[in-house]
Amino acid sequence: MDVIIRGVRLRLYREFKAQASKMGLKLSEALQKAIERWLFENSQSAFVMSDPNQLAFAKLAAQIELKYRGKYVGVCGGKLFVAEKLEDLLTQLKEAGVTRAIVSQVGVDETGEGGEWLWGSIER
Amino acid sequence: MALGIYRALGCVDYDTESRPERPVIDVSLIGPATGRETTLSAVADTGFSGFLLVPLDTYQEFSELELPAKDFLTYRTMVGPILLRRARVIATIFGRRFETFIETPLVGISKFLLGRRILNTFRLGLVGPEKRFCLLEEEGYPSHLRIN
Repeated sequence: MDVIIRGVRLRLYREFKAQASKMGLKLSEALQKAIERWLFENSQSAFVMSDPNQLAFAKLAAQIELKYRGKYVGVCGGKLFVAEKLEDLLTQLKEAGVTRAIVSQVGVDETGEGGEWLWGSIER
Repeated sequence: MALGIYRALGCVDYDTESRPERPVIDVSLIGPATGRETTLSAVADTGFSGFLLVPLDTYQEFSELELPAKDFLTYRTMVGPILLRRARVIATIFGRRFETFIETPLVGISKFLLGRRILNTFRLGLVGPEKRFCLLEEEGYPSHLRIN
């Protein structure tokens, strides 16, 4: 499809066009790559904003990191549950009637590169 | 490298509907908060370095204990990086019950794949010509077979 974009900064556009040209890409190809990258980079924050429990956990994250390192922490409906063991946390959640929560072992469940998802999954 | 002798404790048949046939294994999933349970068939995929990949509907049913978004893992794929949501579950494979994670893409489609983070915790053998996927037990390293 064709798209007209108004109000793009001239210098930024020229740099983008020059870089695309250097890489042997059409402007539309470079723009699509930039859009894909932007969507990926923002997918996590968009998801957090759309999920109330994830949002509540994100708001409490600094406090949780500071106070509960090594412990199991659960967040549901704005409530915070803390336990030494996962089984104890599950008991607390069950007693509170919670069947879905954001749960983390603080400082243990780490973010980052998961590795790869490559040829093995590709089928005709 | 030491050469060992392994005995098959049990084997399951490949999925013969697929061409070429592929190793699959039944995985029982248990929701840690509710105890709800299901059994699914997952493809053993050494090309996937993660845990148990599931479609979104299965993920939504069993992601009772989802990890915070900051702990989701990014995977490199042929079409660029993909971020997978991750939730804690109890799983049973070949009769062994353990705590692990299910994963599903934040965006896009998915399927049932058993990745290396789980596969590597088992001694497994692919018996291709017989189309059997086996759980192995080590019988030891006889000295006359040892290669260093």
